[in-house]
Amino acid sequence: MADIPSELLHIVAAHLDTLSYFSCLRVCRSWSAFFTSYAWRTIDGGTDIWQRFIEHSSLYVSLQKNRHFIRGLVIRQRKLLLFALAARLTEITSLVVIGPFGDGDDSPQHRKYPLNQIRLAIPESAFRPQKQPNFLAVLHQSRLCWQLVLDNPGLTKLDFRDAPICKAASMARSPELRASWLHIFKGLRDARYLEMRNGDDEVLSKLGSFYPKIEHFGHWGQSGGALDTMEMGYSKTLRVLELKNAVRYRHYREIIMAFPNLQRLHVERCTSPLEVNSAALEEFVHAKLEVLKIQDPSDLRLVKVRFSNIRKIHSGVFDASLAENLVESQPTLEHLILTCPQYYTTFYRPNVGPTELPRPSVGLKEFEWTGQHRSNCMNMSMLLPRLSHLVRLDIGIIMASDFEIIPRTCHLLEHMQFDLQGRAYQGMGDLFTKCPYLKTCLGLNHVIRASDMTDNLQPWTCLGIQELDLEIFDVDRLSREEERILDVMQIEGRTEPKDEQEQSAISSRELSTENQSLVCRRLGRCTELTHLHLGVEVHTTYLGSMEASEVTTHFKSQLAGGMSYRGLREGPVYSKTLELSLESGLAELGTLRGLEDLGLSYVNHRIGVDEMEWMSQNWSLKVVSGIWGYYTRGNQDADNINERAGSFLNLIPDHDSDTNTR
Amino acid sequence: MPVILVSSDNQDFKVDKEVAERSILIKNMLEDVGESDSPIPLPNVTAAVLTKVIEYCEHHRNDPVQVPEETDDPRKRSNDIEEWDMKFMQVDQEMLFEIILAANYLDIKPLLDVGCKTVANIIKGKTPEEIRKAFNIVNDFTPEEEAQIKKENEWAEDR
Repeated sequence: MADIPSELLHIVAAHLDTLSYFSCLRVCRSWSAFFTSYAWRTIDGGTDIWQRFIEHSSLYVSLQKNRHFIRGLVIRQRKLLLFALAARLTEITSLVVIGPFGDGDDSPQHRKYPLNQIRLAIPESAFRPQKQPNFLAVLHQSRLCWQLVLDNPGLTKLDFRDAPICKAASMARSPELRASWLHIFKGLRDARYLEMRNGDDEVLSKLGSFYPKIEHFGHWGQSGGALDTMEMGYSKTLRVLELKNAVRYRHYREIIMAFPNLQRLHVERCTSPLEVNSAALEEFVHAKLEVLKIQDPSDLRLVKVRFSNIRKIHSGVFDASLAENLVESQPTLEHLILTCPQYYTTFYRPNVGPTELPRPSVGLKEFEWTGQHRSNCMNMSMLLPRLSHLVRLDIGIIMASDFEIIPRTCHLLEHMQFDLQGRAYQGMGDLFTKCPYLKTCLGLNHVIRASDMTDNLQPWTCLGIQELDLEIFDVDRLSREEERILDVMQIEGRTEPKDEQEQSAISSRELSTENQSLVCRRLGRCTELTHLHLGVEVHTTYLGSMEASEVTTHFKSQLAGGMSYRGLREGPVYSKTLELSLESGLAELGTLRGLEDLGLSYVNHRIGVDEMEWMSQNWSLKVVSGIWGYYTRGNQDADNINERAGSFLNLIPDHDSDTNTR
Repeated sequence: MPVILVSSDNQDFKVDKEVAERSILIKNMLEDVGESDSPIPLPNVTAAVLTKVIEYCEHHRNDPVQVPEETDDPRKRSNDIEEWDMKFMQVDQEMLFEIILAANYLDIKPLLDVGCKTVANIIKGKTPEEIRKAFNIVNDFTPEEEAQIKKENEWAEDR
């Protein structure tokens, strides 16, 4: 193996980690020569091994000795930054600085570092003073970071996005300062990836001529007059541009025109719309851009730019008509992400006036709302009927009336996340019959009637569904009186009714069992399920007074030896939910071999020891939520509970607390 | 149509063209020669190794052509080897080495990768002495050199 050709050793090396490189270089002479360059190629201060290195005493000597091998630096410690400079690293091609530094600010204990060997060419005046307590430390760090850039003209990647440094001072005031910054910026001739925290507009306006190979440019500078001529900025290589500041409308158009191969553009927002005379502009079609992120995408009309190949838009505006306009005007659009505003506003506007005829469908595949406040919802009744290609829908709240549209239109849906506002029994029933590709359906208040799940004329087609949140409601269950009667019969060991009451309870039991079995059978056909939550969201207010009166506690037998609930009881329990007992058809769910996550919040279940044993044998449970207790018959089950159901009991909260049961 | 491959020790192997063409070297040779049933000599590969290589190509005859993933990020590089390949690679050190050399010579990129990944997985987590033992590598450092290199790189050892 020692004589393996080095070309093959390179392939082996590509599959090894840093720790292995350091072992390999101690194996023999030829491997030492070979693996030393691999070991020292990239120093990433975020990894354990390099953290040990940084704390090690011979740091300086090692850096100096191996300086010609070091190509990549990920700086997360002040110490590494100082020593990289002191060791005169000059052949770095990739530099990432991530703050705040783990080893703190410039403090006296760092004086032992060989600071005197660092020559700083960039004066303090090159940076903008800031009012912050540790400004001097940050200022010093800024000088150090940029010195490292100055020392390494071969950088192809520079990422200062999260660097703890301050912005450059305004260049307008001092021609000298401007010249020295431009000298630094221009020095990076080989740059392909630049994230400069204090880049300048002047750099952007000359991007193409400064950096002939640039592919990614992130910019934090101030928007100024420098952008008026983007001619020097023209670049065919630029693929990604991220401007984390406001841009004037007139510059927006210039920028788009300057980079014909741009694939991804992020502009924080645009200002000064009055400077643009739309009528005087000719439409500019950009054929390459695929992703656009901007506060208000309808700006594009103002500057008369059209993206003929756009796939994804992130918009800061949260509005149904904007969404509709976008999908209308950008036929290639597949993903639309709208950000909900932070402040509270009701955006739901009811439709007024005559109902319009449905308009042609559009190609949108993904529709998502982001943002903190997901309580806002928009009127989707005009948009949804057009989204027949939708694959993923991830929105906060959807009104029941809008939701009803989905099973009629969006038959290709695979992933859904929504909280239903109001009841949409019909829609929930139809969703699972009309959307065969559904894989996930998560969210709150997904209330479905049990009778809709037992209807053989409406079979579910989404048999590949993996994750499902569902509130199965209106299950035929026994009344408490009927339960009591059956409990008595059970204890007395009778199966034949002795009076009409008992006869009627037995019939109810049979009906209930039959219907629950049908519901379970339907769920059992979804054999891919890994996540099944049948919980009821307790904080919702939708329960009518009729339904609220059915909120009950768990059944507890009044007789010695009867069925009793054992364990904690949290909140109310909705009585007309699935029992999930073997008697009522739990075994129909035996097909859910891969079920890992079961949730049953506030469900009036009748899970006993038999059921727990059955579940742990038939499913692959890893997480169980919302089950706080179980049923036992008198004390007869107590002996071997842990033996039979121990693995299940380990997944639920402390079950031995009998005090909370009533 | 079958192709005949001849190993360095003059054994003939009759394999399907589709299987033989997993080797880019053979594929190019067949394209250059055109329709011909003359045997293809492989002077760098012994019969024992060729048997293993053909076994691999038979199993992977229907694999799609690999798209090379270019990534510099070591975390994204997968060292996962599928089960069949893992079993296939359970051979002695000598054979593993021979398979890698043959895969390199015959230009069968997926086999070369699996071989090199296997070697990498053997190296991982081992001390220098364990690596030497695993691959029969002679420690040719002088005691002074070894002490020096150990001292310099001590910090890297996993604690």
